[in-house]
Amino acid sequence: MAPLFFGIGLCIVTFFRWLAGWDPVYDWTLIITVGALTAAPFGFLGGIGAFDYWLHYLSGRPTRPEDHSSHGARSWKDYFRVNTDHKVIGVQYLVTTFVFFIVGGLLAMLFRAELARPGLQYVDSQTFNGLVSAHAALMIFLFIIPAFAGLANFVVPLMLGAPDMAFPRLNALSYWLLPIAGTMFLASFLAPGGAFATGWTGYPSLASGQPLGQTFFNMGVQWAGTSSIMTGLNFLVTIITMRAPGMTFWRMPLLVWANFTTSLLVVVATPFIAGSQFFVMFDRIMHTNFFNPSEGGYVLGYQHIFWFYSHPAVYIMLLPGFGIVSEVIAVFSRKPIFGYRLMALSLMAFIVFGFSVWAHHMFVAGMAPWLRVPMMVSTMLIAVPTGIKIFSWLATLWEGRLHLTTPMLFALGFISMFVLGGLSGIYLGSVPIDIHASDTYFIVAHIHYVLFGGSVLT
Amino acid sequence: MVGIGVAAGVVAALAAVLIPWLPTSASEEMDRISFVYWFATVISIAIFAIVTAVIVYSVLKFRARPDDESDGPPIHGHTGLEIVWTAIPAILVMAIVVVSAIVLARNDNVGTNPVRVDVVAQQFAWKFEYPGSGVTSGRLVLPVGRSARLELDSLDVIHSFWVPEFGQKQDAVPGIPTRLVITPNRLGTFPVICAELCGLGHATMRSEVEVVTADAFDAWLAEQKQASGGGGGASVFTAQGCGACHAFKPAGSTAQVGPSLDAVAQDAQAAGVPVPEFVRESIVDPDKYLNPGYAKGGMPKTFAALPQDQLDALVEYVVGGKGS
Repeated sequence: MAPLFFGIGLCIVTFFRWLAGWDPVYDWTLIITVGALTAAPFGFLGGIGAFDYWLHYLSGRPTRPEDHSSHGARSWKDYFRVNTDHKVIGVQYLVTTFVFFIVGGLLAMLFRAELARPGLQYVDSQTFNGLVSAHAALMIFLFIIPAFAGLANFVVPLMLGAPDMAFPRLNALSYWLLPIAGTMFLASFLAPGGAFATGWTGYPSLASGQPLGQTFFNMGVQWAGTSSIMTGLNFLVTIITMRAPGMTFWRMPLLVWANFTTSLLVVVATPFIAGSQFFVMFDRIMHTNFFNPSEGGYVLGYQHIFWFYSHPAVYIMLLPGFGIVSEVIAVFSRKPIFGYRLMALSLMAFIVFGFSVWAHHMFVAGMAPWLRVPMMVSTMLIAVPTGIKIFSWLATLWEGRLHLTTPMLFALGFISMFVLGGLSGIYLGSVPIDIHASDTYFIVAHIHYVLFGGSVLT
Repeated sequence: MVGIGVAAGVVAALAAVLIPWLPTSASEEMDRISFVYWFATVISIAIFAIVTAVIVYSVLKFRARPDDESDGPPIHGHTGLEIVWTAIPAILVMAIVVVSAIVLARNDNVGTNPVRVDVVAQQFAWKFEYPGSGVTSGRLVLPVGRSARLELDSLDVIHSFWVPEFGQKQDAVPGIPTRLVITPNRLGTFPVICAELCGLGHATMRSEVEVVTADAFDAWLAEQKQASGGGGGASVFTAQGCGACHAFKPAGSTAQVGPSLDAVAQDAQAAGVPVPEFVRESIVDPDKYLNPGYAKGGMPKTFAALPQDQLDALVEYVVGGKGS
């Protein structure tokens, strides 16, 4: 089905170019973008049956309510098919994301090998930049964000007492978008000109002139982002409407609270990164001028839009982990979590503050100088809910009966490493320090302490 | 537990003090940045010590014996404690904000009679223009003790001007003029580093800034003006900032980003091309003859647009290895 739809995409592009009398009629950049990056994935999804129920419904054919088995997997092959059971989807997510974790890690090992000695030994500059960019893109969009989604898929309906998620078919579709996105990011290495070499942040004006691999990134983000938004929507509806009778919001486990707040972030913020990537892609393929200063474009606009998602993105990557740690520490201290209400409220505080700090990624970017101070204030204030959570976890440990099992050790390791990463964040929240430390390894260190210590250890 | 906290604090403090985390300051702005840095460090060490103390103590003291399956006390919270640990971090963090805001205001303050420098960034070279004197240079020279106002601009993609010892950094964005204030307070030569990924040559996009006495600065400006006023190849060389990347004895440049122009005769012979043609092609089409060890795309291609007479003069200057 995928090649068929690729062919359809090719025909559409060629037909319209022939109609408009443009030369050359076979423009491979456009054909790849429309055919391979847009049409072929739809073909793939249709071929595996992700759209079956909806297409049957639309065309008036009889639909099967138990379409694609909503009661679990009967054999290992079911995990490779469209399956609407939340536990199966959860496992599919976890296995797929861990595969991308390994691949992303290998990419990092490759460029670390290159960095071991001065000068270039193994790869050229384009490939090196591509390795770094793909490492980040895979880790963020195809490991951390979906892995937590997968675990939540498995666990949240159980914690709510719900039979499944609110939209099981949508759930299945949102899983299958992930392998597509991952394939796109990795396929960019094969594109002429190499992988996207602008860093995962992909700033224009550099990104506007890059070879085809950059478009693979632009589109891959769309597919991964769509998956994320669908899942977020699913969680919101499930948590709001499908709680067991008697389970008020203030009786939900903290893991559910964490996924609820994360899903709010996902649903509101992810469209912005989609927008930013569309703008860059249109600048590249359709020669629009969103970020072309000589034609009236505003280069910094990309950064504002991009970071308006990407800052909440880091909380998307963090909050589910907070929920997990709350559960783990409470169980293995044999004590209720300390300060449940404030913990839930601090999760909500992350949403409010999380949306108000994006420009702290742009302190040296040349934006309006006055904007830096309010952004500094709101950035620093995020330390408060973070502190509340850390101290509450510590208070949960206090006077408990600690069982140092593996999950508990991971949780304790998380607290230590995340505190270090978080403190480095306080440094970076201060504009003068950030002016010195921006675009250096200090930032890389901060990222990896909070992401590895925070997201991965949880 | 207090002991563990103190020990953790001491270890962290030693790590903070003994390891040279920050470069040695060479500007007023960096002095102020260092102050905020240490202010934040003291607060961070305190928090780190508290968290470490509680974790280590809890793990040691409250660990359940292997056969103990009892529950801990059903403590659900303590409002007073929760208020305290909400308020105190808020106060500490706001203290850092206030200190930082003051430092930021002072660091942005350009003062009276600053030196004006226009910084032009392109892939992959820096050019510094002194509008007051009409001087252009590939290296930045600044007088000590006087503030400098840098106006940054980019010809292609986003670059970022950074001198670690000065602490100050600002992106050079195409289409949006940006500004940076630097007040050097120490003599010396420091690297100028491009801090925003700008393409394949980003890592080589470096120059240097030399901080000299006020008299030496005036003398240098006068000398540059004279050299460029004289016309001819030498002035084109300085105006285009060739010395930012290429060592060339007649121009007094020692940069090592690109191949040394003192060796141009050998390089031309290795390429099997007469020297004048080699030099001309290397300016107009830089990737045509690549010296071994240098990647494509490192040298800007914009010099192909030089007017013919300037190009001729420049070629003659480089080939001759003498003054114009």
